[in-house]
Amino acid sequence: MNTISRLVLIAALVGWSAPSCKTITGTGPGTAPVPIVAGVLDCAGPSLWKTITFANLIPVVEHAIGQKDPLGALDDLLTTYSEAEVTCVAAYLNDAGAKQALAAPTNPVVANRVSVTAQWLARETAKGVGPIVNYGSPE
Amino acid sequence: MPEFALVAEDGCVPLDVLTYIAAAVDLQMRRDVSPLLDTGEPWTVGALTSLEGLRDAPGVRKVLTFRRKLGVAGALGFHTETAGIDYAECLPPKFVGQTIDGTTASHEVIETFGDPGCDQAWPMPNGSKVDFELSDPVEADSYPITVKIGSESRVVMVSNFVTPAWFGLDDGPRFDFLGLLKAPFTMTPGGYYRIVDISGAEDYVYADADSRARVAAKLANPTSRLSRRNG
Repeated sequence: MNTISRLVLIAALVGWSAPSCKTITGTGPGTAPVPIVAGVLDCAGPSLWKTITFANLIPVVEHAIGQKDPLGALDDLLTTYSEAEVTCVAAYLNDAGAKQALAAPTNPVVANRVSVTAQWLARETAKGVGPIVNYGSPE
Repeated sequence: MPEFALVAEDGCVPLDVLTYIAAAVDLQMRRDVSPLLDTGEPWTVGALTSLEGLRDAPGVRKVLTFRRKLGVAGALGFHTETAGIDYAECLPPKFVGQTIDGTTASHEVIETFGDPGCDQAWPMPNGSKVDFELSDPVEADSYPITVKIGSESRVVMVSNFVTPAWFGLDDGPRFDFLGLLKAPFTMTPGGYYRIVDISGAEDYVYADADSRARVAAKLANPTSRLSRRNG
């Protein structure tokens, strides 16, 4: 079981509530909504990144994670970015957070990053999305 | 929110470049810096799109803002503290193709982590005390860290730093991370450090003329880390 699978499982056991019924996402005002597709999510796929680049979305998602209602803030991002894009960044930050947690096991900022992204990924898993691949790594 | 946030004013650094720098320095903190120091868990480093909502979000302890023009020409970075968050500013990094200069951000993160209050100094054999500034003695040296985000890998240059052995605090095998120094209180070209002698007078030890110019520029700024120490 890989890191993300373990964290998703933990989140599901300790804090994940029923999955949202929201499956439709948008790509900005006036554009057709783009639903996320069940199955493998290839974050390096050339057709995935339509509204923003991977690296540019990371600070946006990280800012949402730092809010008082982080899952709500992530949901709000779906009015601008696709669900697949946000999910790829969540996978990247979850993986980075897991590595940070090894060096900083009592850091609440890191724990929050891991928890929120794990809950998001659990929700995507419940929709049939996964595995998530090619999201990169800082090491 | 990251504990150490990087922000670019007026888009002077592309957001993706800022993200790669943050990821590289974050990795450097937990892989290279923190294991060699006894100063607690490493801080997380991340890029922010703006300072909006910063005060309402828990966790942020320091913000480094890239600006096209600082208060003092030639100063690479300076610090102020407001409402519990420490602020610093520096000039935009250079980036050519896939290689990004993250040395200034790395330098600031390392030194802030090593001495957040900018007030620590350690005794030398002659009775003087040397500032606990981890990057100044090797300021001009850097090494690469590769970051992969999605399918794109980029190389970010980060700053070398001295270890506790450099201060004579332990018998570690290295005096600096890159292993360039062979003894405590030595420097590589471009490096410097500040000391306060037994009478309380301060002085600077320079590796060369270049490092002397760097110090002069920082001292000219009343909010620089060096100026804070002098104050």
